[in-house]
Amino acid sequence: MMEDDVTSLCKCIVWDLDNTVWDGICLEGNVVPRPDALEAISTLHGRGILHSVASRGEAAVALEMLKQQELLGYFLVPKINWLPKSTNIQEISTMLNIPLDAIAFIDDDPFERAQVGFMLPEGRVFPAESAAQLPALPGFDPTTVSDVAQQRARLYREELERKAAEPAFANREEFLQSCDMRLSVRRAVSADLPRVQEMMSRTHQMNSTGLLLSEAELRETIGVNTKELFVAELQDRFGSCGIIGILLMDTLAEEWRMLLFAMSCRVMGRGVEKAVLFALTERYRPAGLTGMTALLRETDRNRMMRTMFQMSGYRQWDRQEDGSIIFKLADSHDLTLPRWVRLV
Amino acid sequence: MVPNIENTLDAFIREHCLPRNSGISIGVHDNLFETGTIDSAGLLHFIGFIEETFDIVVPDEDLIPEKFSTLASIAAYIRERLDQPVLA
Repeated sequence: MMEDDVTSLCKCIVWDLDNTVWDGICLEGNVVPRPDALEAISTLHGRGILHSVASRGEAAVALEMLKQQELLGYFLVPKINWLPKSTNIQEISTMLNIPLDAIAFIDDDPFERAQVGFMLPEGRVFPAESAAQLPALPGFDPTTVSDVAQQRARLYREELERKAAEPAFANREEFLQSCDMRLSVRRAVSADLPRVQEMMSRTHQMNSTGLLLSEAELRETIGVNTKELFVAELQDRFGSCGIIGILLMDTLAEEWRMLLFAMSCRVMGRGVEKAVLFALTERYRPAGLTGMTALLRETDRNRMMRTMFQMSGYRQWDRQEDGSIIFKLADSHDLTLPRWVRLV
Repeated sequence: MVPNIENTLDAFIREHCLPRNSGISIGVHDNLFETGTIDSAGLLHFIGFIEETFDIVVPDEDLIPEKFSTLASIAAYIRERLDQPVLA
């Protein structure tokens, strides 16, 4: 990530959608476009600067929302999926044939900005709240950036890049370490239930069974001895991410069975899902318990969940009558805590 | 003629999973997950690339740590698949 103190021209702005182009989370229903973002998009569009999208979510849903808001026409090759945003920005760069140093990325999430800055050091990165200022920044007005200035800026930038070639972090793990992620997995209390219910109904990709309970039904699971409801909370150096994971366990038998595991898409790509499984097993599996099993009801959207279970040491063991796969934690050696996550 | 499998896999990882022009690389025996290089979503992207590049199908059941934790184990898996006779 580079300070924008050189006037090399920005040719394309890549926007995050949720809480950047609009307020709210598209997959969770209502969104309201942010006036400052809209104005910047339209002003810069008028100057011939291109716009694109790199956002986590479901392409069909987000594209429909862009269409409804009459914004779709502004965005070229929008990338809405679950891949790292740096990967998507690289693809946009290739597809539009615009070098990465002429691309700016704008996102409300400081982790995403840090990640993109780490992965694509030549790009420019801005927080969502700076949308209104973009049109006034040097480099965002083609008429004020001459060819000579442009060339000089590029040389300067190349020099900076050479310096940046000694990266702040020796590898990706060090970058993740620097984010100082702290995870807690605890029993849910009454005050958590609205968020738990929301996650049940709104997560689809990282959701093992799609089990849906009302708040009243959830309330009944707290305090009975046949079920346990857990929530996972994450903090990092940028602040608190709140409840990012929920687990509903059937604890009646010798074996604990995971009836539901759902994770927020906002924290994908950090290895946190594995840390949640690790924390649950380490902290709460009672002594003498013979094993841990987990249900997976496969859908066309939750393939990542299967990968995640299998790469965390779970193996397909059986199938229920309804077709759900029963996974069993075969080798707990495979279930380790990522070195960049601390349990608190 | 199959290109060097390890190099092909390494090129993908450099392109998609490591910082650009950083000189950061990972060894063929380094664990892709433990080093934070790839996650579940990234693995599925990588599998898509492998299936297309080597013209093989990777069944979901095969996505286990023994086979997909390191570039070396993935390359061994790909070799094994390429050696198998194609079923009609």
